[in-house]
Amino acid sequence: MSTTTDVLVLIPAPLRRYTGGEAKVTASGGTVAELIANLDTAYPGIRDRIVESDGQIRRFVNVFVNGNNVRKLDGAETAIKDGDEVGIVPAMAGGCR
Amino acid sequence: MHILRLPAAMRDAIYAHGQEEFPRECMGMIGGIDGELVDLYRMVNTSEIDKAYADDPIENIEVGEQMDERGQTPLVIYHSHPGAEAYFSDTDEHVAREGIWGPIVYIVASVKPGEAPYMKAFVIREDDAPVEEVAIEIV
Repeated sequence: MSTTTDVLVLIPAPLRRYTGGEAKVTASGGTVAELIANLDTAYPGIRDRIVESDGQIRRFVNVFVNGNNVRKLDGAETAIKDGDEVGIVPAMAGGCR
Repeated sequence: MHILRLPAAMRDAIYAHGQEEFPRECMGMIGGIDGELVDLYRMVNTSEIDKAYADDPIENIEVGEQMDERGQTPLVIYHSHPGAEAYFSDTDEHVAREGIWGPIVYIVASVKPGEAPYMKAFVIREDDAPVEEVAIEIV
């Protein structure tokens, strides 16, 4: 398993209750999934808000690596490397049907 | 919040946005400080079907950054129901429960041609809590 350091993770407002109010935290991991697992070690409970129990990214959450949506890459298995920036973005959707 | 204190200008801006987008749904957010609503952010509806709304995630990030810069937190997500009543639809509830916004207030505005628009507000306070209507006080 590869490890990385100093990956900046942008935490959206509704998840900052897990990070003590921090909007930006650092974490490590060779993939998005590893990164989120490590985030959960530091900030217990945050993982379940980002991924399903099977590890797939929740439907109404978008994860970006350097501005690219990981749904268009390799999903939770998208590789990340030292210096990357990861954004977690709660989706907005709905409608009258 | 148990009563949504909504500035009249924001109410009017939501109605105007809904009427501009008709027959599509409009959408946006309101950021605030200490529970007070401060700025309304219009957003682009990227839904490929009518009677629905979906965000542009890049714009979503940009709005979040603007709120951070202004010391605001997202307090309201609004959208319109064109040609329909203001209610929290099954879709709205499903997305709210599957989503991660937490106890944010959802404003739904009814926009119909030739009729006065009106709005209602809703919240889901905890994961398993029912949908609760929030009283709106225009200030």
